[in-house]
Amino acid sequence: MKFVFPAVAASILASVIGLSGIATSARAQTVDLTKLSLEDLLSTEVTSVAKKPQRVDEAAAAVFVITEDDIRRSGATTIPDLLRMVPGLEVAQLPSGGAAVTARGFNGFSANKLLVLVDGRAIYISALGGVLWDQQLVPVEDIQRIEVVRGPGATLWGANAVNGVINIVTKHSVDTLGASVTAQADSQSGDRTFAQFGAQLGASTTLRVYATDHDLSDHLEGEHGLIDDYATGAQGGFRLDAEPSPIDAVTVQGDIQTGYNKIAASSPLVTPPPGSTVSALPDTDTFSGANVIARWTRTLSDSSGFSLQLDWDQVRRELLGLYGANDQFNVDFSDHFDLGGRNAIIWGANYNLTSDTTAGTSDIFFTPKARVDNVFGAYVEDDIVLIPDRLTVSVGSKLEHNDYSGFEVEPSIRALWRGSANWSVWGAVSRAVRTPSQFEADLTLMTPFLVLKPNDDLTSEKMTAYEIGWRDQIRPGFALDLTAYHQEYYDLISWGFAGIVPPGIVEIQYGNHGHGQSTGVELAATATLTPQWTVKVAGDLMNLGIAPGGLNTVASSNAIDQGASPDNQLSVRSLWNVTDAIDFDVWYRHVGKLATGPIPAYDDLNLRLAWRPTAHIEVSLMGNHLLSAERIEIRDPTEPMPAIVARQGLVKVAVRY
Amino acid sequence: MLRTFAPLTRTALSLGCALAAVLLSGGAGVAQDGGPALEQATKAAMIYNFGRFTTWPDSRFDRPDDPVVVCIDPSDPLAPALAGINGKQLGARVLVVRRTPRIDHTCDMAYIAGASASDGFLSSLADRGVLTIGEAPNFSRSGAIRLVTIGRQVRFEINQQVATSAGAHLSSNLLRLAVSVR
Repeated sequence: MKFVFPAVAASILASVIGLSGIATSARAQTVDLTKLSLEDLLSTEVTSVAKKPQRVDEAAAAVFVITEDDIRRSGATTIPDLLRMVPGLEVAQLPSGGAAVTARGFNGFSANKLLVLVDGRAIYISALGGVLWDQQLVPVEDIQRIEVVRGPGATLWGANAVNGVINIVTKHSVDTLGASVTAQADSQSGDRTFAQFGAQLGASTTLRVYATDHDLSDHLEGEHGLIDDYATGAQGGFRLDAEPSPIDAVTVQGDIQTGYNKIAASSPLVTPPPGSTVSALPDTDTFSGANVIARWTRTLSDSSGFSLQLDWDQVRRELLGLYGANDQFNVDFSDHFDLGGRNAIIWGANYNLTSDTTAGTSDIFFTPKARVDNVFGAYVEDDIVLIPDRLTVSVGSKLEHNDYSGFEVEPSIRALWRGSANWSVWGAVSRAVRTPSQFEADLTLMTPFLVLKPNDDLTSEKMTAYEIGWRDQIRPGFALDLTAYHQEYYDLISWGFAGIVPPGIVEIQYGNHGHGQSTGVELAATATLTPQWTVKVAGDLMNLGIAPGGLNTVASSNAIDQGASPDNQLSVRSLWNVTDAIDFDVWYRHVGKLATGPIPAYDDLNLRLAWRPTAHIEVSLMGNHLLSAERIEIRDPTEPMPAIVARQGLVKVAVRY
Repeated sequence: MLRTFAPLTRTALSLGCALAAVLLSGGAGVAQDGGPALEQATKAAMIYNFGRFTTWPDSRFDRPDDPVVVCIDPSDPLAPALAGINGKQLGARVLVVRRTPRIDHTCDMAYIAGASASDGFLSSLADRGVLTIGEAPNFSRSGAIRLVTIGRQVRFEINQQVATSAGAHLSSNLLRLAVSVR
């Protein structure tokens, strides 16, 4: 976690300055580079939280940055596990390496109100309404930072950035030169390997190639019965960075992956009950994927520049025989410039082409089986300095068109008041929408007693958010970030009762049935108690209320959504540098109970001891989930079995030359 | 389910034209001045960080609050920017930038320009406890820390043996962020 306080400036600030060699010397004088941490000094990647370089303490939004140091010291090897340190985010383990991740409520396998990007490439699959987390195999070793914005980001990012936007930013290939190998094994017979090689190809060109592989194998016979869970995945990729001139940066990167999950054999979905007409579904779930990104960024001055990104993404997923192929092509252009000294304009346009092909059986199928959808979008935002060094107001909106719900408008107004160099307050009112998914609009599911019908008339879910925040560096090393929000949702999509047809079959259907609101507070705090010891705290309180409408007062998925979020969470990380070569870290978490399940509240404790005998080797021992033998974190109705999180010991060896 | 919208196509076209206009105009009027200044300021800030992450033996200093002296030739292009870190705090000590053509054992850190960075000179400075910093292609053969510029990125590589022979202990943070450690 890192907010820009003088001692610990955000990585985003570094990108303001850049090492691009074109920013004016005036800028170099106004920003004291020696106030930046060395990591930040090295980080020059243009941020995408604001689609332009921006200091975290100048953002009128609830921003949290997971730094490279946070990643290394968490011991986590998956992105969802890293996100557990962010206030306001909910993370729960799903079977076979999956995860449910959301911000500010509505968690589940298809947590559809959180937009997630890797280097600006959306991994949120709009057709599915969510992120396939078990397919996100970006090696944590290559992540430079993860930028998390809670609350709407729709003005810049468009539909589905309702409850938050997460951008995972990978390292510049200049930071992965040389060879590195990591091997890890745990007491649950899971293991992970990672190998990478980076080289300089010319005066301004660097390249890295990597491969990673993991096996998660859970064979547990405990209080939750026999769990036989198996997941494996492998991914390889590259990133090429070239900076042919002082103002141009070109990045080409890509990944290719394959994986295989085995669903617990006792699942009722896998083995249909006798007499059922539901066709037997396979008990395995294979996946594969590939993507390529090409990005060109030109920096014209310290306050202007543009970037053009093209990406292509292919996802193949069996998903119990239902789902087939998702192919996406994106073009994204953004430009920012200064107007008259008081206005910073950012505008952009994007186009997305998505092709979805489904599989299905005679009882579970999509109509149509395949579809191609287009999204056109454009946005403009103006940051207006009303009182220099005191008050900045941002107004902007996105306008886009999609094939499910037509035109969407997503405006926002934000203001930041800077009380002194140490503290600031901000407020925002913003609107966001979530477009209907293919599952909600096109799926038919037939059972002897219950039928799910498709619905061609779905409209988008809408949300208006009211947020205020306060950031304060109380004294050097002590920082506080507090956010309060109230979010109102309309036209929430849920399934509900749609009628009874002879001979007594209940019909259900997705519809824009619900409305609701969430109110909460989020806290992030850092205390550097001694030069060797830092404590980082994150916590949140939330009240989520969803009211079903129409015929759906009794049976609907609204209640499931409402019960899938805890009303309180706490994370406390203690980071202690015992010596220069030894770290000892403690991570305690508390997550409140979930009504859906029900899932009891739990406390979690992870310990990490790392030793670097030379500059080239790090050996770490970790004990995870130490407070209970096993637990369930969420019960998602779409998953046949819950995931069991069990106590485990890990050993990891990382070598770099 | 798939619908087409003629107005949208037109919108997309006009957006495309606007985009092309921006791209084409982009090359003109680019301010190139000030670039070297920023690059030098960045290098200076990195040298300040090298000081922060280095521990010298107590025997090197008479008193716990004696300054850490960074030497640079006054004619070096980096000298003006390096002057900007003069007086910065390094824990209990203060960093003092000394612009002098005489680089010797009275310097704790020294920036050595390419022309003077011979192996013999660098080794003799290491023997006298000076942490040497430079940019010459073969600098890290006998120098401790070499600044490396790749495209727009400024990074550094470390010769840990040379640093150790100078009595300087580089923290693992510094070693971790180096592009290479030998």
